[in-house]
Amino acid sequence: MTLLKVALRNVVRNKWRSAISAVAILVGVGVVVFVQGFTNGFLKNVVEDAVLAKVGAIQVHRKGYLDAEKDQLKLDMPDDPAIVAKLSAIPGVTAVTRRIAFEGMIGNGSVSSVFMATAIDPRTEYAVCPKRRESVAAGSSPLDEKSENGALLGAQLVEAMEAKPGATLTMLSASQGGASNALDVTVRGFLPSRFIIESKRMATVGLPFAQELLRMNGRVTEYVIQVEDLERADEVAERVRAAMGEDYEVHGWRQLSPMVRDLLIRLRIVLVSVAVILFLLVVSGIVNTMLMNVYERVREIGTMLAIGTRQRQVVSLFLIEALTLGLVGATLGAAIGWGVVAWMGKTGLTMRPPGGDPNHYFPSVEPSFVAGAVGLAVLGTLVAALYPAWKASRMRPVDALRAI
Amino acid sequence: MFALIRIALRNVTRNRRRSLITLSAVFLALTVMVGVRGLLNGLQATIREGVVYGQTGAVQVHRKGFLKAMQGAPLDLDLPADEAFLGKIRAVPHVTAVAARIPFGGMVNHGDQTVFSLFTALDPVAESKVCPQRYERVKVGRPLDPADPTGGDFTTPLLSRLGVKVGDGVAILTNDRDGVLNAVDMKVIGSFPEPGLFAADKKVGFIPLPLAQELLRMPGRATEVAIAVDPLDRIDEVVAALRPVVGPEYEVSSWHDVAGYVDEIVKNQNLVLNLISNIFLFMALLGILNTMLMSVRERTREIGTMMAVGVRRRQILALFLLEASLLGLVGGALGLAAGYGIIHHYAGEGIVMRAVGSTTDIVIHPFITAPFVARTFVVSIVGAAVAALLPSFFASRLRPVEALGSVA
Repeated sequence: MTLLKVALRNVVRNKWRSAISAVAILVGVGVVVFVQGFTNGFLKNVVEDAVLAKVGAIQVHRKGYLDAEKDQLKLDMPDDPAIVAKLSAIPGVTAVTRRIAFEGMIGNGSVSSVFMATAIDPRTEYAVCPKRRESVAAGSSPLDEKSENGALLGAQLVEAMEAKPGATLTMLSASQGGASNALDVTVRGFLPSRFIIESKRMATVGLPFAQELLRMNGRVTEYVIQVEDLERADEVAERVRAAMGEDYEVHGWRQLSPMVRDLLIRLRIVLVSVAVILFLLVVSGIVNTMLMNVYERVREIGTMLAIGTRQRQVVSLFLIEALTLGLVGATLGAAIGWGVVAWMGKTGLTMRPPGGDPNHYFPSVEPSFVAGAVGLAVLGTLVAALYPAWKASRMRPVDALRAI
Repeated sequence: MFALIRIALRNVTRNRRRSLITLSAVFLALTVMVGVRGLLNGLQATIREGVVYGQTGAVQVHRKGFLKAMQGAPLDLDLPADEAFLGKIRAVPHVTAVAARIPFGGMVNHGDQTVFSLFTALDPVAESKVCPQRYERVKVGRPLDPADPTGGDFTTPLLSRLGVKVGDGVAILTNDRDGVLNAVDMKVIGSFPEPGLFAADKKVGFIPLPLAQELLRMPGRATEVAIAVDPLDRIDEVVAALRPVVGPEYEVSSWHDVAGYVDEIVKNQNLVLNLISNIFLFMALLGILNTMLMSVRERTREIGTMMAVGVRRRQILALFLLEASLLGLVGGALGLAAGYGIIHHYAGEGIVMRAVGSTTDIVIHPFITAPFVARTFVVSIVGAAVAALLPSFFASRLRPVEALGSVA
């Protein structure tokens, strides 16, 4: 107890030095917490954009569909309410929809370009991909039951056709047998251009339209499932696999968007490297402070040892001082970092990705991460103080007392 | 002044361990700053070269309005692909090569398989000078060849969709300039994994320009002229010189206009790097601040003595600032040297990396520029002095009598 009092007094006595050490820890922890919060917000945005607006949590295809380099349309399935009912009954599944993915050429008679389209059923799609409803450019409205031949297209694609919303374009596609078929579509609105490819190539049409264009009445190429908890999509996928049997393949969103997965891993690596370097810089500052502390107080240490203070107690004294600095700095840093992240999480952060439209990010950070950062910073401070503390305790009282 | 420097130097070396720890913080921060900057420089150069020498060329000429409608690859906005027109462009200083192109959309057919894809008709000889990387990407078979007028190169995803191998024959179908469907037979002579960095389209084909002119029924015409410029930093000059040469009917664009997203990617990367670098530097400078504070406390009696024997407050201030600068100088120099060493080590062989969402590796050759090194060095010296301002001020304001009486 006395030890604690002495330690605290020492910290307070050296106001400037303590403040600077604490600030170093504060900045380090604050920055790490902020970067983590920012990364989280960014990743959440990417995952939600991919999973909740496009891919869906789980997809079911005919066996071999994803690896099929040719004839993907031939690997189709019946558009069957019985399958929907069977999938909906699986625990963890909250919604089911059907789609056809296809491609072709779109043109206005003189200019034509390639497109990649997703045909959706507007009645069930938004329960599976809720963000798709908002995933339209400003001023456009999502597809609904009455869209019929309406299509949402990438802005650059429409611009290239010199078309405006309401204009009619022709979609040309190859059906399962390889024969070409063409149908008119009405430009209903624009898809958001988040990545270049979206604005250049993407199209969304209604399922009945695609079934007619591709001559696939009563057929679809994929069933898409929404789950209760995205993190546990793989478990649900396992149950879906068991229910559907050998003829089908089932994939969770992680397998379906390898780009998102790569991005997740890469950003984590950057974050960890930044944290490690900050940690080293903070620790070098602490070592310095504590060493100085020891040198400055040689006579004091000598006196303490002379009046019977144990070496163990001297070590503890210095460690407690470091602990205090670490706790104060790290807690304040975490609080500030967390505060900034929480504030940004509420107001949102608007940034524009290269070649795309502005996007809103909502940073957030897990309490466990904040606790971990504080814990690690405090631990680092203690480790940094070990050598100076040990050095202090090993002084010979006689020499120490004589020192100036 | 000289005496001051000597004293400062002695003070720094006297407290060897403390100086060493402070130095190591500055050293670490600078090493990381330089290393990451070098890596990013290399990455950005690879991206830039991939676009300029593999996709766009340095400068492009189109008919007015083409760029806006680029995704539709309009055929009616065409230009002459003859020597009279191209020769005029080639005559502009710093232009080293000129290649006519026609981008267009269409179908590739083989058996009962049809794939919709994008084609670029290229002049086999001129293109190899404007965009040599296009040719280097061909991994199986060989690139376009003037000796093979019906041979084309296609991406691997396109070929596997068709179930076709290098050496097989395919048919290309598309609407000609008047909107009438036309077809031509050709042979697959080579394949490449990906059309380029950040290339959105994976199903792409390159076919010889004369064959495309026949298919599209536009003999002697093209829709795009790609221009190689050497040295590359003369692009603005070339663009300005080209405008009067080609006339108001045409638009002249640098690759910055054609592939604007590259500049944005580079800008974003630099922003993040600068932010993190500055935080590292700030932490290292906090270390210097701390060291100098201690130094002042520890040397109170010494300062008192100096003042008593007539050293001016100004000189005391200068002494401590000098000491800090010295730390910044040595730590900065060592950090820069280490960072440079790391970069130099990897510069030759390069670092092999894979871009997110890409299927091919890219090689990064890290490098740093002299202005960056100079600027960083100055920042570390001046930054150290700034960090020491407060402690030095404290030292200069000590009162000799009290300072001499101090115990610490």
